[in-house]
Amino acid sequence: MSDVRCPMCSTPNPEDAEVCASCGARLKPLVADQPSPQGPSDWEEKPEPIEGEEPEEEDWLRRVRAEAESELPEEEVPEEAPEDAEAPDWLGRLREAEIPGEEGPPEGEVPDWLSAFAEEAGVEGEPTEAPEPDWLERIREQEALGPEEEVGEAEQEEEDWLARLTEEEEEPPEQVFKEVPSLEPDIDWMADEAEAEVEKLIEPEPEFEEPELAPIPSEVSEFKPTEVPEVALPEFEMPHEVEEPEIPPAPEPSDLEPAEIPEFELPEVELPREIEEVVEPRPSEIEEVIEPIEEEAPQVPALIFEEGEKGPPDDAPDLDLDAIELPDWLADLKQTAPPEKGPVEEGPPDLAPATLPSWLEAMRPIDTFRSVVEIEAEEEQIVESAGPLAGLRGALMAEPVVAMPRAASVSAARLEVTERQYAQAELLHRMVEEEDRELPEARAERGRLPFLRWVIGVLLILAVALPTVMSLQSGEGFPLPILRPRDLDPLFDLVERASVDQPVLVIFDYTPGYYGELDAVASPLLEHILTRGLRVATLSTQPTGPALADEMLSRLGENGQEYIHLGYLSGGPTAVQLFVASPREAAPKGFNLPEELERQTSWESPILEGVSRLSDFSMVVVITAGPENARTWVEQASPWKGETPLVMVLSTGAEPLVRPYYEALEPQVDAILTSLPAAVAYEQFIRSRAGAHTRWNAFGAGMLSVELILIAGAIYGVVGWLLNARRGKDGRRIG
Amino acid sequence: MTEVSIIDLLGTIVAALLTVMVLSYLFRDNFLFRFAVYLFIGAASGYAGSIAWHNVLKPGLIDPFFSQGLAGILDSSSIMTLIVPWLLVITLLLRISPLTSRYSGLPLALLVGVGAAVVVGGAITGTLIPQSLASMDSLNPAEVAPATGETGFERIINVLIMLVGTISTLSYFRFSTQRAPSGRADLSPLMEWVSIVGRLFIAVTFGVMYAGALSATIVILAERLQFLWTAVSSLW
Repeated sequence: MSDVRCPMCSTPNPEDAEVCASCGARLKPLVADQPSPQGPSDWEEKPEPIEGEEPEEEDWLRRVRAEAESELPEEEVPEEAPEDAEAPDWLGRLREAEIPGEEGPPEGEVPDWLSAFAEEAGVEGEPTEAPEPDWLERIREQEALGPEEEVGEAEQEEEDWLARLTEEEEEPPEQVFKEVPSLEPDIDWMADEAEAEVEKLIEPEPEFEEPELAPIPSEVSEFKPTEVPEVALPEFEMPHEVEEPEIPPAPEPSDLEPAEIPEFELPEVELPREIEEVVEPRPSEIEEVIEPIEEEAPQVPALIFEEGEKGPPDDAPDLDLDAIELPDWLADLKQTAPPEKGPVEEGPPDLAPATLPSWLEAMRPIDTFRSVVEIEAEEEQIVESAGPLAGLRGALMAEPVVAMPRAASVSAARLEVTERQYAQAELLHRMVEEEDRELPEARAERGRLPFLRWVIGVLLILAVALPTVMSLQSGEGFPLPILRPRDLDPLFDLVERASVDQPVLVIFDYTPGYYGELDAVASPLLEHILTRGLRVATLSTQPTGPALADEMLSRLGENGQEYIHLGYLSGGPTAVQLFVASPREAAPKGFNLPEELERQTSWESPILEGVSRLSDFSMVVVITAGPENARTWVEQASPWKGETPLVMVLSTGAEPLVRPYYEALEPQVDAILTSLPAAVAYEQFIRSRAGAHTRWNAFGAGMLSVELILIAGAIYGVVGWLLNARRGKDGRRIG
Repeated sequence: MTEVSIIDLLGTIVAALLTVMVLSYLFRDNFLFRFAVYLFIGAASGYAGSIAWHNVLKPGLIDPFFSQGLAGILDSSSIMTLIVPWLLVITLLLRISPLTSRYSGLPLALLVGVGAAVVVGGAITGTLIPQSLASMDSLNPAEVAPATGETGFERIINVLIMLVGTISTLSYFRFSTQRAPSGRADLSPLMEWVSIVGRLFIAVTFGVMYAGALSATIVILAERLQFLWTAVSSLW
């Protein structure tokens, strides 16, 4: 005997070997060892029929047919018109051949497809000259015996026909194969190819002796030996047209691995519709063939159908002859067959549920793991895009399972928390709770009128307005300052020592809101400068600064003669640095220039003659209400001013932050003038009674009222605190 | 009455009404106060825009086109003074649309970068170093303060006050400390006291600033009331 070739690695093995010596694959499927009640399927073990050999089983088939015909009353046969109407044409013609007096299908009714085959095969001549098939000859011989003889034989063998049928079924397949009629010469090539493909796809059952296995093509060797689907077919001589459909269809490339499917192309033959329906391979059929292979491979538990679940059909649709319209005589025969002799339906695979080891069971996620994986339709499954499974559809995705949140099955070790960490966690917890806590709804404000605010406001207004309304002159109300502030002497000296040939640069860096204060404070200084004959050039980093400068200086001097406006300097600190480095380039345009300078720039004024740098000014005076502007000028102008003194005229609120520049060891501010008292003192020093003196009484009255209000408020607070403390004491005593 | 005096009278009346409207906030927030505030904001913005046009944009970007002519514009000297500013202005205007706002990054980066460099450089050379040196004054009684003329015990007291105030104020803003094993992070008792002294200096500084702001406010109020009294007196 020949060796058995391993379906996995194609290694030849001894015939009696159970497993492959090379790869260990099982050579004899376990399922195939079970004896089939019907015996092997003839279509799969069909050897080549030997020409000229007389079939040995003709008698049993004749007996079966005789029994079938004898059971039917003769008059009932033609009554089955509905079935005949549904029967295919070829079956109708077959029945007609059984009717006495007819010799088989007439010549003109040979199917076209058969004629086409004959033409393609090069068979010429009349159809009647072609050799008739064996089955047709046997039918005619049967008819020649007469119906009476057949009936008589049927009566004699009525009791034990089933036994014989069983015995016949258990006969070696070679005998059955002999009964298969030989293919027509013109279509033998097709049958040979079909059977060859069947042999490639189906592993022959080892139960039967096969003379010699043809070498399996490498493309087909990937398939494992399969368990041949058991077909409950009674042994009978089937017409050639019926036998063809039983050839296992070739798997579709889409259902199997495309690269491993041998491509064999049959010539396009126009088959009858009935045969096409049976021959046409369907995915379920392929699955039936492949399923035994998969059973030997590692199985995915989700693919095992449990009890109650709808499993795959036990019988392959293509092998279910109930779905095939059989001749009525064959159907009757099937009905009369005893149930125990009929095909045994295979139940669901007797598979025990998988049991996991205890250690693996302990690691199994419990809460969120899905024990049942829903298999989506093939069209909806995701095509793997990378890795060795690229291109396959429906591959198990590792990422979703990994990313699936699940509770740890193993209890973690207790977390070691130090006191510090615990305190921090508690603090964080309290903070989070504090954020989540809803604030109580604010009480609706009572419609209480702000009497206290009105009282304070009215007091201030009256205090400030009363000296003005009473037309009190300075000195009549509040006494003028007797002592001169210490800061005035350096400032006065600077103005007195300033060169008349060089102009004084005055920076108006405040908004109109501070005009009332800074106008009163800066007026004495500007008056002193103009009185000394110094010319003034104004500049501002505020858009409203030039207008304020013009408003102030217009009361003290003459535009174009005593002062000139350089205008607005845009750009903040950057512009200040640019100006101190190159004044003419930074401020090319003036503001409110006099008529003689029309269509000219302020730099062409005689006031600014000879000025090209910051140090060319005799003095730089910065009038500002904010410490930021003062600091900007100090920082940017210090490297460029040289010996030119820098004077600051400040609002009272900005003084504390600018004074350090003045009182340093190396002062960056050479003089400072701030607050109304200093301005009044300066006016007294220059013997002037300008704006500062006119607001002195109002300022004094207002400050006095403010001080009184502050004292009253302080007393109110202290008394209230004492009362609360006393109530607390009394409460504790009572308690 | 001349035309100028009529305008001045109308201006005085409007200014007086606006002053009263602002002072009406004393009672509560009302329509008159909001109207006056909005009017001031609008007028200030319009005036600032007008000043920017007449003092910056027109003389810097428009006038050169007409004064220099095409030859002057194409001159190499105009690249940095005229062409580059125009390009920066145009790219900055692209910020109007979200689609083109990304192209305005260059002028913005130029503004922010140059501004920051100027401010930081000025702060270091003009404030940080000089003020740090100023806090390290000599305790020699013979020294004389150049600005104030102080000398002797008076100057030493002032120097000590400045030294203590500077150190304690800086210590108050020192929030880092070592944490005890119990988890508490407390300052040492000495640092606690220094921090308290620094807090006092800060409170005094803010108090002085508040008093100065209050003093300035009283002066401003006095000026406004005088203006109102003058306006009312001029009507009668």
